Amino acid sequence: MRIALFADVHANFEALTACLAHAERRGAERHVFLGDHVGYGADPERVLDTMMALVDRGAIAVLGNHDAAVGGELGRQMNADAQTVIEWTRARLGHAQREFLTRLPLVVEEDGRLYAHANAWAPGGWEYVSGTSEADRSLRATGCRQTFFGHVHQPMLYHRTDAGGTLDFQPVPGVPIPLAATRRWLSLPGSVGQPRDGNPAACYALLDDARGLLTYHRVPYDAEETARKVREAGLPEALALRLEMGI
Amino acid sequence: MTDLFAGFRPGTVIDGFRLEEQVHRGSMSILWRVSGSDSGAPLIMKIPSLAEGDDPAAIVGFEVEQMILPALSGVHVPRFVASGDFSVQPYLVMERIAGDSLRARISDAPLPVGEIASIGAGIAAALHDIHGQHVIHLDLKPSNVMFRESGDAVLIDYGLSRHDGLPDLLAEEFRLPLGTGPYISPEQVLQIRNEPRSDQFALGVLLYFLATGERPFGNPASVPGLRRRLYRDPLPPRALNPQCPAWLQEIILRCLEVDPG
Repeated sequence: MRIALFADVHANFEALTACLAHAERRGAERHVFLGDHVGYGADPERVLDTMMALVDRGAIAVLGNHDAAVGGELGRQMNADAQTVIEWTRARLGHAQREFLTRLPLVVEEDGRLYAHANAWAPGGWEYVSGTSEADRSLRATGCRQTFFGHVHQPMLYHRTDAGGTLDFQPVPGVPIPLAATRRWLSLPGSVGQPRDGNPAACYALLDDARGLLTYHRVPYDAEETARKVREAGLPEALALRLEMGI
Repeated sequence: MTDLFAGFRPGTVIDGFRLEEQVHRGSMSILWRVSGSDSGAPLIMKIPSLAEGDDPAAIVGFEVEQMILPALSGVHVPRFVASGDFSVQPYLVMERIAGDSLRARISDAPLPVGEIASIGAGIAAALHDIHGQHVIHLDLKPSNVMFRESGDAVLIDYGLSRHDGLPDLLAEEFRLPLGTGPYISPEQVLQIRNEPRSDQFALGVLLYFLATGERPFGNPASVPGLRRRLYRDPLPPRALNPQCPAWLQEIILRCLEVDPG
C-alpha cells in the first residue's frame, strides 16, 4: 500500500491539490493528514471539504494545535497573526466543518505506525520535535517502529536502533529511503501549505509500505495566487509573504 | 561457541533461492553460490553473522549494504537481485562475478607497469561511475575489486559505503574509525564519511602496493598509528622500486596527497 503523508496544510488549497495530484500519479492509495489543516491560509472551507471527503473514504486525519484552537480550545498562547486567522477561520466554518475539527483524534496508531501532529510523549502539549534529543524522547515514548508528525514545517528524518543513539537526516527530495526494519524511524514530511525551509514548493511524503520505502517530495504550486488570496482576505501581510518566500 | 551458520547446508532453500555451495566464509558473513528464481544467471547469497557480542558495526554494515546495493546499477557493480529482512533471515542475493579478486595478484607485486596502469585505470573508471551514482565506496582494497571478462572493474562489498541521498546508518558513534588499516583515508581516520576523494586515496595505496610490494603507511592497528598518515609523507615509490616510472609515481603520490589543494 502506498500511503501519502500530508502535514500542516494550513488552509492552502492550491498546495493541497498540487500534492494530491502528485501523489495520485504515484499510486497513492491512502491519505494521512497530520494536523493543522487550517490556520494561516485563506481557504479553510475548501481544504476541509476536500479532506472530509477523503476521510469519508478511509483517510486518516489527526488534530493539530490550530485545528484545536479553531474548534474552541482555549488557553493556548499563539502569536498575534496566528490568533487573528484562528478567529477569522472560526467565523467562516460551517457546522459540519467545525464538528469535523472538534472530533479529530490526537493520535492514530495503525499497522505499527503512529500518526500525530506534534510528538509521541504528550501529543496534546504541542511541543516540537526540533532536534535529535526531542526525536529520541518521542521514539522512546512509543512502541511503533515508524512515527509521522507535522508541526515543524521542515522536512526531516530521524532514526535510532534499540542500542544506539538517535541520528538525523536531511532527506533529499525524490530519493526513496529504505526504512530498515531493525530501526525506529521518525519522519517529518514537512509542510504542505506553509514550508519554512527557504523553498516555497509544497512538501509531502509517500510511504511504500510493502517495499519499506519512504520518499520525500517537493511540489511547486502557484504560491503567488495563494498569497494573493491571503491579502485579498485581509489576513496579515507577513503570512502572504512567507508563502512566496518559503520562510 | 555455537556455529551460527550450521543451519545452512547445500539444498537449503531460502525465499526460493537454493544454496548450492559455500564459496567463502569470513568473520562477518558467508557467501553461498545459489540457484533460484532469477534468469539462471550465476548468483551468490551473502548471509551475515549475527552472533551475540558481535561488533554492532558489522550488523549495521550489512544493513548499509542492503540499503546501497539496490541503489546502484551498471557494469561496475554486482547486480542486486533480492534481500531478506532481519526479522526472518537477513541475506543479500546478487550477481556472481566469476574469478578471483585482485587480492590474488598482490603476492606477485611489484607487477609489470602496464598491468598496474590498466588495473588503476579500470578501478578509477569504476569509482567515477559509482561516484556519479552518489555513492562513495569507503573500503576500496584488493579483495573488494574484481574484473569482468570484458576487463571492466567491479567493486564489491558496500558495507562501509555512503550514499549522499540516504541516511548514514554508520554515523553512530562507533569508537574506531571505519575502514581497513592500510587503505583508510585521512578523513576517514577523522571519522569524516562524505568525501569522495577517500576512494582516490585508497586507490593510491593500492597502486603503491602494486608498484612496490610495500604499503605506504604500513598496517597500523592503533588509532595513533592510523593518524600518522595525516602528518607523514610516504616514501616515494621510486625509492623502493626504481623500475616504477616517474609518471606512475606522480599519479600515486597525487592520490595519497593529504591536502591536494
